[in-house]
Amino acid sequence: MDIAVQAAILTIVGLIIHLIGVALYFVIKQRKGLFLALLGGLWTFAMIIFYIYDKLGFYGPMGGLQQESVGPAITTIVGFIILIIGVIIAVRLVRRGGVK
Amino acid sequence: MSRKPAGLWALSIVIGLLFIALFIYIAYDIVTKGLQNWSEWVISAPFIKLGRDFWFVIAGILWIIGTILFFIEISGYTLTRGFKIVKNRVKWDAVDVTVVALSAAIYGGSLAATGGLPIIPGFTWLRPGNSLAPLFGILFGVPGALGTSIGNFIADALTGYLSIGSIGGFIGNFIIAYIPYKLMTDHSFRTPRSIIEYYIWGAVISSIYCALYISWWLDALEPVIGLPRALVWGWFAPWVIFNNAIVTTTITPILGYILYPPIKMRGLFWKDRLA
Repeated sequence: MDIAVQAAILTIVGLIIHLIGVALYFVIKQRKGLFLALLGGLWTFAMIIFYIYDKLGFYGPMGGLQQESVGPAITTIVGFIILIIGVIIAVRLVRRGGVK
Repeated sequence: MSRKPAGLWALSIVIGLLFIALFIYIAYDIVTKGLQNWSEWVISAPFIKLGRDFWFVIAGILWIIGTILFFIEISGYTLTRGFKIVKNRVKWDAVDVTVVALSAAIYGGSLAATGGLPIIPGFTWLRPGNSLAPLFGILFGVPGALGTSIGNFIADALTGYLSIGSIGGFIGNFIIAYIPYKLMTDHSFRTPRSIIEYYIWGAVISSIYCALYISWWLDALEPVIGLPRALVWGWFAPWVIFNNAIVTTTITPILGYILYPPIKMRGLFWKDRLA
C-alpha cells in the first residue's frame, strides 16, 4: 500500500482519537477525555511532522531519512528540542509534586 | 548486613552481570559477523531454526494478549494478579496528563536525536533512548507507558519510519513499559529482589515481548507494509530484542537507581498516586 494512503489512514485515526477525547471531556465531562484528546493531539502532531518532512524531501526512498538531505541534522536538532521541552516539563512537575 | 541479604545481593549482582555479559557478547557477535550477515548472528539462530510458522503462532498469541491488555488499560480497567479485571485507580488528573506529555517528549526526543543512524532503512535505527521505556512504566505506571507509546510514534515520524507498522510499534512500546510496571513487586532498584525482578521482566522479557509483538504485526500486514517475512523474523525480531536489551540491561538500572528517590519523594511514583 502506498505510504500516502497509510499516512492518510493514520491521520484519520489520530483525529478520531482526538475528537473522541474532546467530546468526552467537554460534553460528558469525563477526565479521561483530556488524556485521549492529548493522545490524539500528539498523534496528529506526529502526522503533521510526517507531512512537513515529506514535503521537504527529508525521507529516503526506502524509508528512514535521506542521508544526502539536511533531514538527519534537522531531526537531531528537533529531537533535542523536544527532549529539552520534556525535561523542562519534568522539572516543573517534580518541583510542583504529585500527591495532593 | 546479615548473611542472607549479602547472599541475595551477590545473587542479584551476578544475575545482572550475566545479562549484561550476554548482550555485550551478542553485540560483539553482530559487529564481528557484520550487520549484513544477519543469518549468522547468534541471536538470529532461534528464529531461523524454529522457523517463521512457529514464531508466527507464538507471537500471535502474545499479540492477542498484549492488545487486549492495552485496551483494558486505556479503557480505565486493569488485570489483577488473580486474573480479574477491575477498575484501574489511575486518577487521570492534570499530573497524569502531564506525565503522559513529558514521557512522550523525553522518549520521542531522545529516540529522534539518534534517528540519523539507520540499521534497517525503513524499519529501525540505533536507539539508546530505549533505556527510558521500562523506566517510565516502572516510575509512572500506565501514564508513563502511554507516553512511551506516543513518544515512539512521534520518533517514527521524525526519522522516516512512520507507516501502518507504527501501530505495532505504538503498542509494542507500551508493552516494554507495562510489563515491568505490572510484574515487578519492588520498583525501587534498591533491593536484590528489585534488581532481579527488573532484569527478568524489565530488561529481557519486555524486550522479547515487544520484538515478537511488532514482528507479528509486520508479518501479518506484509502485503500492506512490504517488509519480507524472512527479514521480519531473521533480522528485525532479533535486532529489536538486542537493540532494546543492550541499553535496558546497562543504562536503565543506573537511571532507575538515580531517579527513583526524587520521583518517590515528590509524590510522583505511580503507587502513591492511585485514587
